[in-house]
Amino acid sequence: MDNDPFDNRLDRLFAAARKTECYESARAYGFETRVMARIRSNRAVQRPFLLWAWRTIPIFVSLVIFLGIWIYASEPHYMVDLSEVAKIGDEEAILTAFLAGE
Amino acid sequence: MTVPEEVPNDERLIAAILSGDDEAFVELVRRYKRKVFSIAARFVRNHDELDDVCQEIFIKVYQNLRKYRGDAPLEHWVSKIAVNACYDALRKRRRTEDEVPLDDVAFALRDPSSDEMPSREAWEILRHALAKLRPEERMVITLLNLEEKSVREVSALTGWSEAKVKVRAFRARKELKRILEDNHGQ
Repeated sequence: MDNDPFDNRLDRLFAAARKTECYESARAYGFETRVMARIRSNRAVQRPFLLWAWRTIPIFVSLVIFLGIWIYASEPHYMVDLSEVAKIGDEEAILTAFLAGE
Repeated sequence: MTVPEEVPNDERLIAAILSGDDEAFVELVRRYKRKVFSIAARFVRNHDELDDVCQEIFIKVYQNLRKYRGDAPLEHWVSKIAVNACYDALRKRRRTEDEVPLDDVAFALRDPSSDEMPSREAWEILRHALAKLRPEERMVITLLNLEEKSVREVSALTGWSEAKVKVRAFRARKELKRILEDNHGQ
């Protein structure tokens, strides 16, 4: 491959091109500021969704409270007589004692 | 006597960025922009595109910093992101870039015995010839012959196997020679 004169020329071309300084500090001036501006604007784009999500929380909380009240109000309620419950407990104890032969 | 300001190393810089310190990221950009600009400048058409591509690269660095494992120096990791972003830009652009025929570019491939060619002129010749290559050919020949990376380094940067890098380099060089020969004759 090295015998080809055009290969030599190509290698010389590469060698010369490598010396070109591609970084120009003047062109990169303020580059950090531009990058940070884009990063901040990306964040700002993401924020409205989060804000919107947070703003819906009171609506959902109100809905849960309303549903709770509505379910509570629509179900029939029974008065619980604690003395009756105590009596039932006593009867079970007497029955248990009788069956056990005490 | 002035006390030199402590320069945070890359690990501390990353930790600061991940904890939300924007100034730390500015420092990271300042530290690696020369490297990134040098890589991207080999693939773009003009200064506006260079600025855009470099911004994209640093935004990717920012977004993916949590994925950096520290098993390679940060410079290598940033370079890899830069190379991949440039390759994506090349693929999007395809070969529509070079509207200017190579004949119209003022240059001459001088005789090997002649004086050294000016670097800017050499780069302009190559830039126009490289624009006619396929993205993968342009990528591989740029990294090998202009950035002077080894086959192994190119393989690591691009994610291609070393064998694929060699094959693509061979084809790219052959194609580049054909393009230059067609435009210059012998």
